[in-house]
Amino acid sequence: MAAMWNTAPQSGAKGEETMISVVAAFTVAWLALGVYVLTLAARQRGLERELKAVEAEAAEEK
Amino acid sequence: MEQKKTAENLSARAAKTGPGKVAWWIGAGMILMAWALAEAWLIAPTERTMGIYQRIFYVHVPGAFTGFLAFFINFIASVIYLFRRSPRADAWAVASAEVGLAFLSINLITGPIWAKPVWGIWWTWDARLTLTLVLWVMYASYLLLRHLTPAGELQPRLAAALAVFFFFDTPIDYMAIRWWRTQHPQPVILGGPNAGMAPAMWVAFWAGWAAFLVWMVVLMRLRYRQARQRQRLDELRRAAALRAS
Amino acid sequence: MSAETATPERLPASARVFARVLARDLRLELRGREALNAMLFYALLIIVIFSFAFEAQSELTIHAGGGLLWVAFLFAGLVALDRAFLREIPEACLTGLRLSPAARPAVLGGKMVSSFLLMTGIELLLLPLFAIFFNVPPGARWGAVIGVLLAGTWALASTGTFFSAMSVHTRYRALLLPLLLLPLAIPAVIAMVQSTQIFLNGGSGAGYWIELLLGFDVIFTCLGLLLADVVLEVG
Repeated sequence: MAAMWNTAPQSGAKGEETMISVVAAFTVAWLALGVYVLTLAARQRGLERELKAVEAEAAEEK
Repeated sequence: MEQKKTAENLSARAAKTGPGKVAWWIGAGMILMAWALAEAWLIAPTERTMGIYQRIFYVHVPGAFTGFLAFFINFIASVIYLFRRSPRADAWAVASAEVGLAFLSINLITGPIWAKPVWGIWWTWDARLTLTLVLWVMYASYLLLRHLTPAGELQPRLAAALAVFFFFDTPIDYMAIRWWRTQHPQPVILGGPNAGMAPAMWVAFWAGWAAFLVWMVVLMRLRYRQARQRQRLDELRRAAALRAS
Repeated sequence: MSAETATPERLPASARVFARVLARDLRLELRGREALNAMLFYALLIIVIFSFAFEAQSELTIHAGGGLLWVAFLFAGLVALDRAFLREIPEACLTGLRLSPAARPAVLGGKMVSSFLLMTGIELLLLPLFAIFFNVPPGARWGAVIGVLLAGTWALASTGTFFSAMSVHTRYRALLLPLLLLPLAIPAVIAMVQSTQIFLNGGSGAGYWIELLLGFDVIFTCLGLLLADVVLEVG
């Protein structure tokens, strides 16, 4: 198995091959990170709102 | 008590720090991402046997390596937490576990997309696939434990113990699964004498990994800040509950 | 915690703690025999359900007997492991245990051994039923199977008791225990299923599986005892 790939690269794709899988893989990968960033951002907003409310409450009591 | 006070100050400071330098990291991440994409899609030569599908390698393997690195950071942070009981170490632990899981997910999603045209199947219980899946399951259960443990001092303590258990389990898993079966292509990185990549392929690989590493730093910083704010929130709530009683 | 256990006073304190916890847990389980009977019946039902689900024939046993046996043991064992610390909830025994000056590794060790003995007992009762229902081939090496059973049960009991101490504090306690234990136990499960399979078919050459299983036992017993303070600490 070891020597089966990438020892001698060729330029140009084989006839019937398409980039679809490659594009799909990269898209899905970066999309997954994007979704994670959006989740983080949403969580951040909720967290800051909660924090502000609790801090205001603490300040009020003092 | 004294120690508690400093911890409170620190977490208050961390909670107030804005994104700051993160913006620079995000910019660097964007540029690296574009470069990695150009390298992987256009510049790197097409591989002889697997053809064009081999290009998925440049996102697949960096995803795994970044995930493993994040899990290693999780282990270090957990051990530091067990010795020092520092809330900051715990924040790093949760940040690295979650970000590592995100990158490992990328690896697990892109794997089948590559395997279908090359092997003709989406999934096989081969050694490396199985091990990656097991790692994914482990750190998912780590995050689940954190989620289901009541907030407070107990949560980081239990999580750190679990992280240490999982870390020591990984090499045993590796051996067990390796004896069990193997079908994955042999390592091209640190592989045998004939295993190796053409120089242009290495460039594409490093570009892909560099982009992921920068994004790992960005995401971990953001997640770390969140964890610190969460700690601050819990502290304030506990203090409020104490005043009320 | 009744304390009239026959432990000589000259033993070191941690050995006494270990023996008392072990004796008390076993006594509690054997006294309230309902739980033990229910667990046994549950494991029996798993084996019966398997024989319907998979058409129990000796052909199946030759290919997958080890797996069927261990899945049944695993499910039954999880009930026993969940009880290891659940038992301490009434009358605030858990708080008592954590506040007591007793060495925590000794407490955890005692509980590991008591879980191990309970699980082993159930498994040894189920083994003959399994042999009958699944028509185990006559050449099976039962001595070796029981050896694997002991090593495998210790792997599950030692890690499972540790996780039981962890999950007792959490929401969805009974659900979380398998969610923590199963990912960790994967290498042990592979090793015990593979070696049991080999021995059920009367084969040999499971040496490296046994070594792996024993390695798992040693590593995680030590790690669990080292971290006993972390999970049993007051907090």
